[in-house]
Amino acid sequence: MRLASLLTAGLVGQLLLPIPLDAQGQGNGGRPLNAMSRQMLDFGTLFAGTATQVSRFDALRAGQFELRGAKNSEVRVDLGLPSALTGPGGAKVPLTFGAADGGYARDGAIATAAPFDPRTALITTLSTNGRLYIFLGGKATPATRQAAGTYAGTVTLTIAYTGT
Amino acid sequence: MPLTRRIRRFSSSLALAAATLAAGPLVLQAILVAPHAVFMDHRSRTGQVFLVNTSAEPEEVTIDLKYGYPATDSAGTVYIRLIDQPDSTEPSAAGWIRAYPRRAVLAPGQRQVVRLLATPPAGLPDGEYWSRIIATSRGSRVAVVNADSGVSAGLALELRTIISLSYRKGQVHTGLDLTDFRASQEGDSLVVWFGAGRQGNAAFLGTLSYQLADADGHVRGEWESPIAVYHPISRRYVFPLAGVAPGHYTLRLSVTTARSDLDQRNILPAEPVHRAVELEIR
Repeated sequence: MRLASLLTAGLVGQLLLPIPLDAQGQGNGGRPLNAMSRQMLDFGTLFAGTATQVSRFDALRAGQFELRGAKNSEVRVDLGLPSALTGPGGAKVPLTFGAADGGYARDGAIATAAPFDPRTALITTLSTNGRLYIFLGGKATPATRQAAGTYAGTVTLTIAYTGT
Repeated sequence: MPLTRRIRRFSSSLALAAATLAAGPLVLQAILVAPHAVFMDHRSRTGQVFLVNTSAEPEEVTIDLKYGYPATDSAGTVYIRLIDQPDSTEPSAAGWIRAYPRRAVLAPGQRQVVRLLATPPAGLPDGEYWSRIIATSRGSRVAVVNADSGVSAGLALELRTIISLSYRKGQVHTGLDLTDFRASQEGDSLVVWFGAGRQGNAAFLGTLSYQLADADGHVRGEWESPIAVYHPISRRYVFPLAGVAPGHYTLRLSVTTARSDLDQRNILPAEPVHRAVELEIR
């Protein structure tokens, strides 16, 4: 018991001490990687029985994400897309994402973004100033007798450098 | 540059990044993770990662360590292979490096230092041991749209940032075995297959440089890509051939340990590799 307390105290003490300078230096392995959501994909008002399609070119409703990192570095971006929004009692509003629902650009221009299939990984390089912009469209299809209530889902955006 | 100045500069760049983002357009959710590759050694057994909430909303961030490395699939596409239960032959550090704290709620603009502490098993052989650090960030707010029909919809976002962690003990060395280098034209693109294995007891970190030279030796295309070889890989690269005239070409490959995105002191030296292949562009 006493030994365990001493070990715990030692561990906590070590964590509270400032990290030695040369250890900090060794941790310095490159520039920050910053992932941002500027706008979430927004289907707006949903009406029962009426499908709502949001284009990836829609500046007001498309999902818009930005990555900042080391210039010219290669990244892999994976989007985890929900197949449905889940509501009261497990009721679903199906979501579909097509091969042209993803777009990416290095200059942030949504209108000229190159297409990609958001259901598969995007492997590309950051711009010369370390930027990458991603745009996401999709379609929600409420049923004719869709139960009223709040429906929610989660999009997962995973980013990894491929070169480390 | 002295170490203290480098650290000050690193901290300043973090602060500047946060300030710049705060001044920019509205950011709903964001997490900054620095650095993007962590190197620890057996002498200090500690490391650290900085997390910064660069958005205007609180963020809940969790930190997980999992064994993994860049790998390639049969199509030559690179991905991060994560293995929950690596077998004993894999040089995993994920089981004996802990992150403190593993979970934090960051206020807008708040910076959090995550300290890494290694407790390696006794008798650990010399070599490099690997893990991936996964920072998962969840915003505190889900945008919900209220509809007249009574159907309200909202999407939440989860941001996962995966960075590498290398733990080095004793003598570590690396090198590259080139196992495949082929190039051909496919439509308006140059397709290159690059296969490689690693020598030594540590990952090879370097840069691939390609030069496409015409029959007169003039360079008509140049491309670069950072490369990490932990286990054998077979990658397929596609480069645009726009503006390249038909003719006979030589594609030259150089693989070196030069890296512009990493502190060179963390890169293990290795012999450069040079190769060339001939191809026709029609």
